[in-house]
Amino acid sequence: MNNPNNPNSKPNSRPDYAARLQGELTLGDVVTLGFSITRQRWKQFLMLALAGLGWIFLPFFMGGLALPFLPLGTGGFGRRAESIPPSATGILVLVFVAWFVGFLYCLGRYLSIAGLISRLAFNELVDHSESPQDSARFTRSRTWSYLGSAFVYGVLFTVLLIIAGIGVGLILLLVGAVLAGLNLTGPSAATSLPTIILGVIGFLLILVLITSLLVWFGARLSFYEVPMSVEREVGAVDTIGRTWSLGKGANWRLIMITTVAFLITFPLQVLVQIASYIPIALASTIAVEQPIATFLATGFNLALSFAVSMLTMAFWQTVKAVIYFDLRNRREGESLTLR
Amino acid sequence: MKLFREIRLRTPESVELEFSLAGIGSRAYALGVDYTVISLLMALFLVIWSIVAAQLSVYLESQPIVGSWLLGILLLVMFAIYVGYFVFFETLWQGQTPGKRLAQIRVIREDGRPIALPQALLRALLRAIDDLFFFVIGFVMISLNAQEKRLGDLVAGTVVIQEQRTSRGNIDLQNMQQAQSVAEVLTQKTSISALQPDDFATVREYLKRRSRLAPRARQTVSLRLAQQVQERLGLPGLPFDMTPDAFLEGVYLCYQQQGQSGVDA
Repeated sequence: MNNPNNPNSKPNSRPDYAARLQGELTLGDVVTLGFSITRQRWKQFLMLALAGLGWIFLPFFMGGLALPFLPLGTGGFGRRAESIPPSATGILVLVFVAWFVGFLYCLGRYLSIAGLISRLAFNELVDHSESPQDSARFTRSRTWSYLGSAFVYGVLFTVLLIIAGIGVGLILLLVGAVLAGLNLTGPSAATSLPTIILGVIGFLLILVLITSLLVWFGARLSFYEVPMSVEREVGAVDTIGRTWSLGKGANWRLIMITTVAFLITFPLQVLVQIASYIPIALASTIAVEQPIATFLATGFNLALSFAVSMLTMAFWQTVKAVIYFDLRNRREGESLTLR
Repeated sequence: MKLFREIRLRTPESVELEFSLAGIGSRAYALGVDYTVISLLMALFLVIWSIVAAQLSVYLESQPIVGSWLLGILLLVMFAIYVGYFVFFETLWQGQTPGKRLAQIRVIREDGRPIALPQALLRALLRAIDDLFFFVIGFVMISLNAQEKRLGDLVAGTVVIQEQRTSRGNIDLQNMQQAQSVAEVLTQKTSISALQPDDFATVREYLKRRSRLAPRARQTVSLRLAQQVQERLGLPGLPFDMTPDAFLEGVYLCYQQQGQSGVDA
């Protein structure tokens, strides 16, 4: 019953690693896990993030390549708009539509890779041994579903912003009514103290309203793509509903978790910034001609922003997976099982 | 590589203790809370001091030196608040500040003893370096160091651990009588010590958390656990017709009673 290595340990009082993972995770533990899983699988996750970002980059790269060729369709440079034959316009439209569909597909692939990172992280937490290829196959097969759920998510937030806009309008109306009630209309009243105070109060109210709405719903739905990345039965629309119901009663906690995770990204960014000074230091010691220097500098900055995006993506997708794991554990006792 | 790191300490009396390290997330959380409180305190002091300064400059109009004195005292007090906050709380609350309390972590000495003034002071003073440039140095050190020590910890010889906590909730046995009879049957039929301490911890965890589980999930979990326990104990079936919950409660009682009788014997 006692730990044979330590005669002084009482049963169940050892800081059992599995027990800590099994119980209800503390707020800080969720972020710690997000960090340590990313660290443990950094090569795999960063490669995936690179691929994901590559997919986003692709349509713009292709579009950029095709741009010089567009005037061929319209019959050469310098043509005036009215003189472009309708057939050329038709072709242009077709080309754009084709590009847009391609863009959507690339977006879907990016989202599926993001979901893949979350799935891999979740598997790590529940000790589910699934080969990376199988995981990748699972998420890749749902590429268009990911796109669909992203669309639904976007619609939801648009509705939210519209509601926020109505709220802002109401506040402005209120401020105006108060001003009118106090007979503070007219240009002379514009800079008087009560107007300014009311204006500031109104502005603050608007700020608070918009921020709270965004933070509240943003945190609650932050991991909306994880349920469909993990659970076979959950589809594009279901995933949002599932995310919502999992977070019931835990909204503040989710807000805090995302805040702390965000705090952790600060030192990471600073590290990357420090790394950015290395080539500048190198360049100053090695005498390089001007055009090459700026080319290298631009290239390096590009690579740097890529690196930051990769790190951020890998980390956030992992944190989302841990959030999902913890919420599911709390509501459905996933980890309550004898090992 | 484990996801949570642990540390083994040796006390002066040569007792070995094992602790779970706090983890970067909890420490960041605690720091965030503490910095918020400190900022509020500083802001409060700033407001008070500006009023004092405004009043003083009315009475002592032609004294330019007063201005620099006021500024000097302001800076000194700000620094004192910054350092003093951590020193005060970590010494008074045995290694915890309000932020650390919330995050359920604690600072202790390398040899397991609670931290005292010198350690708290060193930690707080070196915080100025650790937290420079958005906490880079502290962050890097905590991630790379096997004992999650930042500069302040290294110098002061301290370590930040996770408080051993038990899940919220009491175990209120709902079917007391049934559980008792189950316990009796189990004592006779099987050796309850076939159940590992970890398994018992899981059962206990379930009993504490079951009221918070979603209803359908709760049924699944209780059934799953009951079946798993049944297997571990080598029982062909449940002793008599009962809900998985009642069975698990009985197991819990039986294990507890055995443990107690073991100690008494």
